[in-house]
Order: sequence, then structure tokens, then C-alpha cells
Amino acid sequence: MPVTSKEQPRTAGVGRPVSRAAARSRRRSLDSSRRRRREGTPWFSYVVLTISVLLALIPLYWMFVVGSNDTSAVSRFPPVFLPGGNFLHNLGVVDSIVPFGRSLINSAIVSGAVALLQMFFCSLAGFAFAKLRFRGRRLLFLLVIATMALPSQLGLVPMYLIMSKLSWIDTYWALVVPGAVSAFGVFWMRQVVIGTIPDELIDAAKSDGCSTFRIYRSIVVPNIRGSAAVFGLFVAMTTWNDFLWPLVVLNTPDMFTSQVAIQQLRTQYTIDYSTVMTASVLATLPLLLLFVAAGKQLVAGIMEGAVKG
Amino acid sequence: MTTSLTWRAPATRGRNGRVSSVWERFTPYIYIAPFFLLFLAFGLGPLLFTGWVSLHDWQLLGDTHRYVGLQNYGEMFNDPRFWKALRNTLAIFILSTVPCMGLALGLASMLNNRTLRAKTFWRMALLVPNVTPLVTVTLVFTSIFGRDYGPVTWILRSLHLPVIDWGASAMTTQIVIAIMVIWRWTGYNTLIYLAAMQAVPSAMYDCAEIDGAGRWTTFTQVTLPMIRPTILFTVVTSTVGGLQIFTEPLLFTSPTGGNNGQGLTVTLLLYGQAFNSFKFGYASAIAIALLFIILVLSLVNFAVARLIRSS
Amino acid sequence: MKVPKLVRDPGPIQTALDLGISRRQAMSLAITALGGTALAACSPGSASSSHVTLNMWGFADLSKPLVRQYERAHPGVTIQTKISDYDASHQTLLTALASGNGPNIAQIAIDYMGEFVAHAPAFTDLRKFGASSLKSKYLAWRWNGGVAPDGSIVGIPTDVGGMAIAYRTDLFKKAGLPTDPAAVGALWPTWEDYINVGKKYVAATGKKFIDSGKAVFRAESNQGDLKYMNAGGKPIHDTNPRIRKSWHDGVAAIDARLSANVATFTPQWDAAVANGTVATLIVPAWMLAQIEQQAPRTKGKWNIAVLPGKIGNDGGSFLAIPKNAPHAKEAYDFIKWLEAPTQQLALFKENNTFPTIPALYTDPAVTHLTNPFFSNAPVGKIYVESVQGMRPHPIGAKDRIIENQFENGLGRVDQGSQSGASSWTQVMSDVKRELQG
Repeated sequence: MPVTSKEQPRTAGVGRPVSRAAARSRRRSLDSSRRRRREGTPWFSYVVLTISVLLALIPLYWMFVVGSNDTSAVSRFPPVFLPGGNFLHNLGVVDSIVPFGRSLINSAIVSGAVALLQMFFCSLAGFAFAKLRFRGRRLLFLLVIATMALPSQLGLVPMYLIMSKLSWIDTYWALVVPGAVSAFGVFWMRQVVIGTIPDELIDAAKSDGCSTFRIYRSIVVPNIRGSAAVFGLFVAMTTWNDFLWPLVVLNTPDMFTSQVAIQQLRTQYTIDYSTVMTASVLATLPLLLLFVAAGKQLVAGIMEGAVKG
Repeated sequence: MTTSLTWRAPATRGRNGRVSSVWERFTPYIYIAPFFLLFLAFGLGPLLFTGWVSLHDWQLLGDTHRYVGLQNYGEMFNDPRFWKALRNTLAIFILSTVPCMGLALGLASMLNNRTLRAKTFWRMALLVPNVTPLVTVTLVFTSIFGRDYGPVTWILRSLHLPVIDWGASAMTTQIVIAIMVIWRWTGYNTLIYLAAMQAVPSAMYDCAEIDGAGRWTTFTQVTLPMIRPTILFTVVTSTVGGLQIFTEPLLFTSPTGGNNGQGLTVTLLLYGQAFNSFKFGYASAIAIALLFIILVLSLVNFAVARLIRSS
Repeated sequence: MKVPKLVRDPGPIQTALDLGISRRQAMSLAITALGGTALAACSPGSASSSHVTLNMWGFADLSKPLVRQYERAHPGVTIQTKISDYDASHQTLLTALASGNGPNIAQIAIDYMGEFVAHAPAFTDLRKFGASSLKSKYLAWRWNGGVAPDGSIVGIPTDVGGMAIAYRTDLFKKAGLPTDPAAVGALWPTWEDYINVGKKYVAATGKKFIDSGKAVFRAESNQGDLKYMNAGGKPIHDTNPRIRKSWHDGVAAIDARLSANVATFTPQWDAAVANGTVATLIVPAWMLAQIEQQAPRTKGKWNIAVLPGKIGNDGGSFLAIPKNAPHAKEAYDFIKWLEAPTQQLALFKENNTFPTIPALYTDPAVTHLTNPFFSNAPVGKIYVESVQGMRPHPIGAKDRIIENQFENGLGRVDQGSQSGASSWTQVMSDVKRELQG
């Protein structure tokens, strides 16, 4: 079980409820009991999962096929199924048009910052909405939901106005600050806190004289880590692939995020699919690497939540 | 659970016993303050602005914005395109959300199996549709459902079935859009459900097992009730997101939702009215109307959830 | 206020004069600038106060090589280009303009120009930089597309479409039709003739002749001296006989089963062109590049003939300067340079964007230009002829929206979901709704 592999350094120093060894043995006994219960994975689980994953991956694979062929591969019939040898050539074309490496760094900075800020702000506010009693709680929460219900397309105009008043046009601020909070995130974190942390736990901590922030840090954060990690990953993904807002507020090619950079590959009125797909492969790779890197952590994080309940 | 709270009380305890109650009353606001400060500027600001604009004859480029009261809303009620867009939106919403949620729950419970091998791979692979760039998604889906050269057409032909022009009728267009939605969002919801399922205390399953519950009973009697807050969350966010559906119909049809508005959704309509017809006031009125529709449906979701909980 | 530039690097006073600042203000500016220079000695980087960065937004390839060339010749100017797709580009521009901001230079498609011209105060009137003197150099009807009713000049034209028919010589041969461009052009002096040739082709091969019915409508409706608006700005979409005739011909082409029903700018269209689904295409000059790119394997199988009715135009764009954009003078200087004959010629050779400067239409570099992809068709000569006879029609602010309704209408007929007559009825009511408010 990956759970036991790492203890988070963050919680060191705070006395843990149960000794680690005890927790570990408890986990093990639960795991083995669960294993006893389900004596193996039914084969149809694998079949269903395989089909689902194939369906999920085909477009990505095809992106690479087109990216490594010439543009006409898109419209050839019968279709082209195998990658060609043009990938490096197309890569050269992409690089000659737009500083693509730089755009990947920009995307990483922006999505990383947005994801971290959202994980913090949204879990804090979600915790407040879930567990703290204060006047206007319901109304404020309704307001949060209401802003989620407003189509973002019209928000572009006032947002641009605000950004230009703040002189944030063509800066990272314009991308990071408005993205630092989301109604969606607060809602999600609220639901997670409600679902995973019983009121008695909070009350007991309070009667022990814990400050609210300490409750957040020592009880809430460790318990919602799994969901918060999934949330952070989602936020990073959406920010990475967001293109309309960056397209509106950025001007300098060295500031472009990868999605804006891909737009620069358009030629006169048309799309050169092979270079666009090559760039898309490049723009998607970091996210896939993030998956691989975050994957183990995510599994671990989600498990943490599972065991503590 | 409460027994776990055995750690020493923090140093601040008792130091300001009297002040602390006042302090504690205000701290919640401090926790939501950073969120609300940003939220006021970038969430509520645009909302109020849109509401204000909706009361005006607001041309996107003009300097003069004439106050017209509720005239834009009146125009909306008499606009057959609005009702058509609303019908389409609801149809696509139902066609996509119900299968998407069901599939996600099923996949999540398959993934929530400790004996499953290569867990990380399955989880991450299911999330891939969400990172696939939109340009690829468009290209792939318009090709797959292409009338002349698409693989679907190829299959239909080889089975001697009539070829379908997917983009021509409202029904087929909406089915394709729903398929795109399901494709893009099932993995996402699966992971949300999975995270919640993993948080269900193992003891609950052990009890169920002792009671001799089967797999299905365990799922309906233990898993579903325990992840109810998360299900409520996904139902509400799917309602909010589903009724604002924009990208998929835009990609599969056109900014006008196809020749006959067969893929025209409410958001697509207001987008077109704002940026194609430059009627920013009218577009804002549609946006506010959509907001109320979504809010009402979300409140219904909450109410239903409460009913289920209390029963 | 026009002071001739004698020196390469104008001093602060000269610059201020160029910017339209009074002499006394200029003196005080000069003093400040001198003080500033003294201060600048301490802080690196502020010496670039005379350096100008221009942001240019557009939807098509904004001729990067020419931009670099201009920057090399003008060391004080940097030009940053940002390209978005057609709709997104106009949307981002609208967003910025609606909040009183914008790029220094904006590319606007002719289809959108009617609306932007109707909101001329959102842009810098280029007359203040002497743009009126450029007018005589450009195609008159295209130049007027960038002029507002009050006479202010909103944009400088970049290119025009020009129209012709590209046809597949191999498919024509199989169908027993002539393949020589002159003979092919002689087959269709009128649109009825074109449709009749199509009928013969379809009868002979069982394949499709054109990409869509609306292509016929679009080309034919642009050939008159009136389109959707009369000279007084009144909508005449329902009464103009040319619109009715163009609609009729579009429907006739569909009813005769000539149309493959694929819309431009979709993967379906690319596939149809690449796979020889259609035998002819109605092509503006810029579309040649699209065919070359999306269907490289059809090289040498095409040729180009004259359009039924000879004249035509579709597409092209303008460069404009938003009202509040700083460095308007520098932006104007760049636009003026980019749209001068030499640069327009270079763009035509590279991108097939057809020049808007009639002086080039007699330039051998244009008239003798052939395109190897299209069997060495004399593209220069063909497009010159199609553009020269063009009669201008008044363009209203709502023309693009009206056009959308007509195109959707023909799309419905093409899909078989409506008859020509019932689709026309719906178009009329759709247009009426769009014209309200």
C-alpha cells in the first residue's frame, strides 16, 4: 500500500491522535480485511476500464499522428493511422514562428500559481462555510453559487476594464489574480469538509481551545488533502488550457501562454494542422508529465483521507 | 473520532478568554475575506455590471447607453430563438449529464477497488480528455461524425445502413454534442467521486460485510449515502456548467448554432448577440435570465438533497 | 502641423511637433527631456524613452518578415503581433474597445468593417495624419469601405479578394469537358451557364460540382452595385432583384444536386477538396493558399478560369488605430509603409493576398505572375480583371448579420431540411428580427 510510504512533514510537531505505529497497524488490518472481502477484481472491470481509456486516449494519439505527418493527413481518406516522420521538422516550424519553450514556462508559472492560490483560498473559505457559524453565511454562499451561474463570456468586458485600470494588461497579474479564487472551488471544498470532518471533531478541538486557524491547519488540511490535490490538479489543467482570457489580455509574445502561442501558428485564414498539432502535443506533454508525477502523490493523498475517515 | 483529539491545547488558550468570543465571532469573516475580496472584484463585479447593462440599450462600441428598463427582458420573452435555445440547452443537459454521472459513478466504484492493478494509470488516463486541447477535440469529433468521410459513416455504409448527416437535424446534433460532453467530463467526475469514495471510513464497509451485504447493496446502502455531499456538489456544478454549455456546440456547429439553430444554446445565443450583433444590453438580459434559471434549478437540487437526507 | 522629417532621429521638439503638441509645450517637454537625460545617466533602461512598442492584433498571418524588416529600418520601433482566429480576433478587439482600450493597430475583416465604421469615434481618424492623400493610390471602392459617413478615415485597406473559379482539369477531362482555361471560362459567361455545366458534369460522373450553394450566392450577390442597403442606408435585402437572383441560383445549384454541402473553414471542406469530391471552387485570391495547404496532393490537377459575370470580390481586411491608443503617429507610419506598393506586392507573391493598389495591376510582376500549384495559371492577370470591373455597393452596419441569415438559409436548403421557398421566408423574418434594436 502506498499509504505508508511517506509521512507529510507538515504535520510533524503536532501530536498525532494515535501513534504512527498504531495507525499503521490499524490500516493494515483494515486493508487485509477489505482484501478478504473482495477476492479480486472482476474481469469486466478491466474490460470496461480498458475501453474507457482507449476512448479517452484516441484523440490524443491522433493529435500525435497528425503532428508527425503533413497537414493533408487530416483529410486523407482512408485515414492515416500511424505516426509519420515529420515531427521534428514541424517542431522546427513551430519554433521559428513563436517562442514556444518560453510559452510553456509562462503556462507553468501561471497554472502553478493559480492552482496553489486556489487550493489555499478555496479550502479556507470552504472550511468557513462548512463549519463556522456566522451571520449571513447562507446568503454569502448563495452569492457564491450565483456568480458561478453567470456565463463568463460577458464578464470579459468588465474584467478587461478592471485590468486596464489596474495597469495589469500584459502581465501575469491579469492571469493569476482573477484566477486565485473560484466559486467552484469554494463549493467543492465546502462539500468535502462537510463530508469528511464531523462536527464533533471541530467542537472538541474548540473546547480544547484550538484557534480556528489551528483547526484549519491541523484537522481540516490533513483530512481534505486528497480532494484538495485532485482539485489543484483540475485547476492547473483548466488554467493551462484556458485560452480566451489570456488571448485578450496578453500582448507581448514573451508573455504568451502555450494556448495563445498555438494561435500564432495560424497562417493566412487557415490552420496548418500539422504544426498546430505538433505544438498541441508539446503543450499537452507537461500536463501528462504532471499526471505521472502527481499520480502517485494523488493516490497517496486520496488514501490518506480514506484511512483517517 | 473525537478520541483522537488528545493533543495539548495550544499556548494561546485562556490568554484572552474574554476577548476570544468576540474574536471568534469575527474570524469566520477573516477566513472568507481573501476569497471575498477577490471575489467581489472578479466575480460579483461582472455580475452587477451585467445586471446594470441588461437595463440599457447598450451597443458594444457606442458611447451612449440608453436606459430602457426591462425592455430587453420583454424582447427576450418574445424571441423564439431564446425559447429554442433554452429547449436545446435542456435537451443537451439531460442527454449528457445523466449518462455522464452514471458512468462516472460506475467507473469510480471500479477504481475504488484495492485489488485493482495499475491504479494510477487508470485514474490519470481517464482524465486525459480534459487536457486534450480543444483544437484537437474539434478536429476529431467533426471528423468522426463527418458525413462524407467519417468513421461512423464508414461503419454505417459497410452495414448497408443509411448515412446520417449528424449536423443536419436538431436531434442528431444534440446527440453528438452530448457525446462530446460525456467524453470530456466523465473522467473528471469519476475522479471527484473516487476521491470522495476513498474518504468513506473502511469501518463502514466492514460493518456492511459483517451484515452480509452484497456488492450492489454495499454500493447503494454505504457508498452512495456517504458520498452524498459530493454527489450534490457534482449535480449542482453539472447543472451550473451544463446549462451554460458553450464550447461543445460552438465547436460542432457554428457561432449561430448551425443553419437552423439546431445546436443553439442559451450561452451561444447571448455570446452571438453580444459579439456578433453587438447587442450587449440584450445579451446581458439573457445572461441574467439564465442565471436565475440556474439558481432555481440549483436550489431545487439542494432541496431534493435535504429531502433525501431527512427521509 | 505637418513638419517634414529631415533627420533620421528627430529631437524631442521635433517628435513633439509630430505628435501634435504646441511649440511651447514642446519646449517644456524638451527641458524635461534634458533633465531626464541627466537622470537617465544613473538609471539604465530609461534611455529608451524614445522607444516605441506597437501592439498589432489580427486574425491572419500578419506578415512577420515585413514587420522585422520595418523594425530593422526603424530601430526605435518594436512591433508585437498577436494572432487569434477570425471570430476570437474580432471578439478580443471588441472587448478591448468596449472598455476604451485596444491595441495600437488592429486588423479588421471587411465583413466586420461596416459595423466598425458605423462606430467611427472608437477609432483614430487617420485624416489627422494626412491619410486623405493616400486615397488616390487605392482601389476607390475598397478605400471607401474604410471611410465613415462623416468622412473620417477608420482604416487603410490591406487586400481584396478578387474572384475566379478553380477547377480540376483531371475531373473535367473525365467528364468530357474542355480543360483549357480560356475554353472553360467560355463555358460560363453567366451563372445559369455555370449551373448548366455543373448539371452536365454531375450527369457524366455522378459526383459533385461545387462545395455549397451559398458559395454561388456569396459570389453572385457581390457583383452588383447594390447589396443589402441602398445609398440612403435603407435595407433592401427583400427587394433587391440581385439578391433574389443570387438566392435563386444558389437554390438551383442545390436542387440540381451540384452541391457537396461542405462549408468553408471546416475539416469537411478540407477533406472534400483534398479527395476530389468537388470539381470546381469559387475562389478568392487568398483561398488559393488554403487549397495549397490543405490539399497538397492535388498539385498540378487544378487550373483557374474566369468567374461567371467576370467581376467579384470576397474578403480582405483593413488596418485601423483605436481611439485611445498611444503612439498613433508611429502606428500610422507603419501602416502606411506596410500597405505601400512594394510591401503589398511582396505579400501577394508570398501569401496570395491580392493588392488594393491599382498601380500594381499593370506591374509585370503582377500581370505575369503564375501559380505552379494551379498548372501555372496566370493568377495575376485573372484576379486583376476580376477586381478592376468591380462596382462598389454601399455597405451598412448590419450587412454581416444579414449575410449570416442568408448563408444559414442556403445551408438549410443544402442540408435538405427546408425547401428554397420556405427557407427564404425564414430568412426574411430572421433578418427582420436582427434589424430591430
